[in-house]
Amino acid sequence: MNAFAATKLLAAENLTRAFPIRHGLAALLSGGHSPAIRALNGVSFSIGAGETLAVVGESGCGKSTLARALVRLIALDAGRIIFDGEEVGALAGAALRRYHRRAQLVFQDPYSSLNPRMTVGETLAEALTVHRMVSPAGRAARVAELLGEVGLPAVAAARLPHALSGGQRQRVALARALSVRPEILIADEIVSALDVSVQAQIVNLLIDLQERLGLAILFISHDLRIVRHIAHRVIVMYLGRIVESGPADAIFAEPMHPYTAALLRAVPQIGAGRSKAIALGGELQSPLDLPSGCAFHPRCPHAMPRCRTERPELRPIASGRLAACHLSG
Amino acid sequence: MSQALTVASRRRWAWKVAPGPAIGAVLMGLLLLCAIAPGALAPYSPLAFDYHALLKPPSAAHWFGTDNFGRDILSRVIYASRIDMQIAVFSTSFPFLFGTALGCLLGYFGGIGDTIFLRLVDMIITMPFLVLVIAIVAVLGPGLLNMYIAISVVDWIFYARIVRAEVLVQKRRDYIAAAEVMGYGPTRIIFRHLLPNVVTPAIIYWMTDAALAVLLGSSLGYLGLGAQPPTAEWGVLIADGKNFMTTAWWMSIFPGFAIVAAGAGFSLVGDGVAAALRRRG
Amino acid sequence: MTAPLLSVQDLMVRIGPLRPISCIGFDVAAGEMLGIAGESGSGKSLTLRAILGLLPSSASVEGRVLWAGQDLLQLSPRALAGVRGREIGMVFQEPMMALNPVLPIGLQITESLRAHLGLRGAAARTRAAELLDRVGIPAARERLGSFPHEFSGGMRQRAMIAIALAAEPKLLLADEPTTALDVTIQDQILKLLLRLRDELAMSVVLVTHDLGVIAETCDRVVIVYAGRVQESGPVAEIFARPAHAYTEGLLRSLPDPRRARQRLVPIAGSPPDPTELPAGCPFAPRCPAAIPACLATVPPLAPAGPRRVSACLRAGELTARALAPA
Repeated sequence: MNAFAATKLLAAENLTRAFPIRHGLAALLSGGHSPAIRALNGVSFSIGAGETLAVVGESGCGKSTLARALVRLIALDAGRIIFDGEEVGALAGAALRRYHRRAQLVFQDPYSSLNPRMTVGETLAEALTVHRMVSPAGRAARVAELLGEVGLPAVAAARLPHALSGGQRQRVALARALSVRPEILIADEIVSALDVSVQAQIVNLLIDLQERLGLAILFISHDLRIVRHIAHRVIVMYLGRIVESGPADAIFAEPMHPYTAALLRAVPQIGAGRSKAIALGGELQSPLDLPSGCAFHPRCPHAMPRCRTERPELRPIASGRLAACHLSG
Repeated sequence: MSQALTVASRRRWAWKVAPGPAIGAVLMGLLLLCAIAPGALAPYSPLAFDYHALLKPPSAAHWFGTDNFGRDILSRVIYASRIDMQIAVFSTSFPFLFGTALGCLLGYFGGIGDTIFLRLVDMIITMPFLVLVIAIVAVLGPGLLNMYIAISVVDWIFYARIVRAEVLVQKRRDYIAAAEVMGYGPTRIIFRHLLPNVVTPAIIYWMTDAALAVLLGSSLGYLGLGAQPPTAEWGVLIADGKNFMTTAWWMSIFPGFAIVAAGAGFSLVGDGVAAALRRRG
Repeated sequence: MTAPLLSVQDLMVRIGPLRPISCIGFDVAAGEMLGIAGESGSGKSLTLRAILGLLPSSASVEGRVLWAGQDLLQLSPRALAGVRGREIGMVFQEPMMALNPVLPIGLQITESLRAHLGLRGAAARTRAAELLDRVGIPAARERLGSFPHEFSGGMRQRAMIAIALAAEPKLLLADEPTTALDVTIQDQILKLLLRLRDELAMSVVLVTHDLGVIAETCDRVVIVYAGRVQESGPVAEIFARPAHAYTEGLLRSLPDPRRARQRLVPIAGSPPDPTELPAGCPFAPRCPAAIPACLATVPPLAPAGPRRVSACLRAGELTARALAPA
């Protein structure tokens, strides 16, 4: 039973987005259809207040596109995002700015997500100013408070980003996102570029913040070991679709989709023992030319003839769990 | 005491580590001094005729010699630096400001304006800059102001192109996306976030452009299309000495040196500024 | 005990005011897979480059790198070029950076074959196709003419391995070869390296920050921090019973499936500034188990069990208890 199901903060319905390729030659080769990278192919999920939903998948699965679409950085071809009852796609002007206060995004690369010519203090103060979070008199104090919340000393406000380490920059990026007191934080691979010991610090920080502020977190990552540690529920994506979703413990204990199982087998663990067998053979299909039927069937060890012709729908297979596989259907 | 030492040692370091920009700084300093306070440096008035000293070669009394009206060349060169430095600054300021602003807008918004701009660039770069400027001056009539207008009308495109290119690069970086996610409007994003990060190449180009402006202004002055005689301007001075090249070479050569010095000064200082900005950025 | 294939001793590298490597030493036996584990700034990648003389010209290097009876650091550039590629191969982290983007893969392989084995023409092309096939690239013969950008990330990495193996080196140096790859592709590449190690009787030195990767592939591991070796020994033993406070801290900070959604135990602080290394053990300022002796002088590498060494003064106490959940 999902304790967070009652309060659905954000619901995504059938999100779809393709990026057309503008090369004339490619269009010619594909026989007249304009080829496109199908980044998102009908993704639906929801997230409740205060819960951590992890989105896992490898390159080309669409998780970064998803993150950007949720904060309106990228437009959708089809589908709706409903946040607290409002349709996000229809927002504009002041209403859109209000949405940006409530849903924030932290990026993967700490070396490019901060303006290199603004000090930490200026970056944070700007957010406070634009959204009128505090009076001009109280700004400096609030900046110091925010820095404290992310574990940085108040003197960091005077520094420029190039003087900070990767981990410190991510903390600043987090502080910036938190300065507007969002209700949902989208973390797009925020620890992937950091050292292991720093990852642990940032993960702890997220757990703290969630407890203290009741923050919902959409945690995007390819590192299943961290996901296991932080997520309540997990969504597994492959080539623009969700292939499995459910409570984190259940998925890790018993994956119901062959891709999830392969991912778990592939994760290098200490003390897991050595096996010579590859977790998953083959290569990722080109998103320009998706296979017929189930997109995973060319690599699936359990592929049946039906998988080649009929695409499996995402179906409930147990309480709170969904999977898109003919084997479990 | 120790402070004086560090200043002196820093100067020595400047000479050793960056002789180019140091030389450039010295040249520029000299020229600026001439431009700001010509009266303090020039031994004679630039307009003073002296019929007893016509076409005299360089001597103790007249370091650069005299011209066919007996005017002291050194004084004329010094007073002319005021005009030429003005040319360097004024003819490039408007293109820099306007071109940078437009480059930001075009790079950020793209669209039909950007397409028109690109076609405009294609057209302009096929024509030699000097010829274009001369053509415009021919339409407007000779004179310093018209020369500024002619140069500005064409020169802004180069700044816009440079800044637009840099904007296209910076636009993709996460801190711009982060600003959008924070809900900042385009105005704030362009002027507070993009501009400080894209202006460096434009500044560097400005320094080179100033050097080119001096050359351009002098060329037009020589052709009689820029500053008009009796205004002392290096190009005009060279034109004055045109007919006396074999008999009184000093009339044209010394203004020529001044032009070279100004061009070299701007370029060398520009190199130094470029290196400094690159290190910081 | 047979002599090691490669023996790095007292390696020290200085670049300008920085000293990214203070003292690194380890041995590689024939046919073994040695892991070098460390975080960014530990000097692990630089070590590989120092072995093959790939450091910037402003770097000064001291120490000995003994290979086949010679000290590689003392070799002339020409002699070193003969060792590089022919006897010791190297694979890098970013295949797109390490491969020449304007040359077809086949040409990059045959170039190595010509330089090191004197193979030419059809014989070279056949061997190149064999190599691509061996590293698991399908339709190898046809792919000889493909350019690097036409391959996926995993395929590029396989191609780079093929180039490195062209001259049948006895030792392969791999600098974070899978860090930039997806986890399933990483799994494929690591298993490929293990298979090649067995088939070609080759030794591999694998540099990575991912302890899980080391656990699943390596025989022995060297733990590096702030340009120094902190401990080394067989992988299973070190991970079960670390003999250095840094190793223990690292292992503790990793996510543990048994303690999901609880606080991780990170190592406090951050790595030292390479221009201001502390006087004693470089890890001491962050170490929860530091004693005054740790801050005074750099602890030497001392035996900490059979085939194990550790630079921790409290190694004995650490190994006495196995790593138990907190």
